[in-house]
Amino acid sequence: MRDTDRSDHETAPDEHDDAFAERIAAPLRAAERPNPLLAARVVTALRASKRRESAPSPVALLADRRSSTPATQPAPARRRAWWQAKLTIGVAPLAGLAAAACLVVALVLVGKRPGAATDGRVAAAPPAMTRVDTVQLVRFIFVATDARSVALVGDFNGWDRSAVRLTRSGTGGVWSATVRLPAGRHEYAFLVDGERWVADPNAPSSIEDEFGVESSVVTVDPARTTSSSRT
Amino acid sequence: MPRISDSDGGHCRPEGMSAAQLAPPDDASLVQAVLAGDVDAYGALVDRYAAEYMRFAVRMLGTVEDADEVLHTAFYRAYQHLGSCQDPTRYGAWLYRIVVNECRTRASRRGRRERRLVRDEAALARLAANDRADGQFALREELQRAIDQLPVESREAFVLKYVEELSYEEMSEITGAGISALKMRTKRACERLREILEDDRDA
Repeated sequence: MRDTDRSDHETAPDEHDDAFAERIAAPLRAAERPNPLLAARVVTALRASKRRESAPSPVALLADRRSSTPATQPAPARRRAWWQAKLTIGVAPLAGLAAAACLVVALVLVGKRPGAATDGRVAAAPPAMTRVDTVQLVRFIFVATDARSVALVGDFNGWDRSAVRLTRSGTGGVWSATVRLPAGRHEYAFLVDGERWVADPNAPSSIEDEFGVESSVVTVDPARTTSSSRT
Repeated sequence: MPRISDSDGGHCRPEGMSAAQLAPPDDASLVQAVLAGDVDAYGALVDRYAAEYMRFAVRMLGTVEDADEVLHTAFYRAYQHLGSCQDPTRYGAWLYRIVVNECRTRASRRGRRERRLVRDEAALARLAANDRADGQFALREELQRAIDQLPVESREAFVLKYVEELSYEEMSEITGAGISALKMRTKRACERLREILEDDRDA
């Protein structure tokens, strides 16, 4: 039965309900004191998180050509194309910008595995141990001919409005930025002219709207583990 | 620090400091400081609002320990999303939504608490009369066990409306639910609480 199918007295507390609820609730209004160390714990956790974010990236470590994990099972060497494009293009009218069309294109570029040949030649170096491709580049493109600035804001940059500013190319109103994202689910939105939040009309919407911002979701596939056979 | 009487004789403050300098920073100032990189400023916000929202978290989750964990998570997530707080002057209300969501998520995952005996209303009235100053505790525990048995949405509506004493408009802003739905939930919460008390009286 829908809420609206019932009469008011059945769908809202009456005086008796209020009186009863007051007897139950009054003792429950006693204050509950939080842990006095809560603030310190939160700040400590945030500082630790910041330190982890500023740690050297796994790509930099792999560039030293140190193997990270031993191959658990031999597998044929896989050669990747240098980039692998997955293109999703959607066009939708953008409310408030009558003259602008909104396009969001996400290109997932899988990073090149250090040491792997890309033109069909077999690498002269000894076969590599199992490596994990960790570089995931995602390119966001936003078209808005009348915008003065466009920022990409999401959980991957702490919803920092100034962290990723899209660059406008040419005079056609095409804004773009490439960001490095770890595998997994990410929420994001575009901030146009520093004041208007725009979700990606062609991406799934975030179901968590508790922050009051309509955002979108991009899911970055986990990098594939590549390995080459031992000789 | 020398104490100097102010002209009205009623307030003393260190020499050279104005009333404005003594006032604690407002939420907007703290939010701006945090966004500028001052993590310690966030500690001040946590202190301020943990005291505000601890009671709600305990009523929703039933224990201080669970409430402490959820508040920690809520504050951590709020920091990560602080850039999306569109009006720093209303940081408290923005944070409240996050706390409510975290409590709802945790309470839903946990499922129903083990049912415990709740005395009928007459016995509760005797408890209230007999409790000493430090021990409205026993009565609170009994009532907490009763609301623990409510479905999460009804519990949330009951606590926000009757314990936190919010208006339906405020509840709607925080929960995202419509006012009609919230009234229905509080109505059902009251009906269910009566059933819980009668069931235990009859048991």
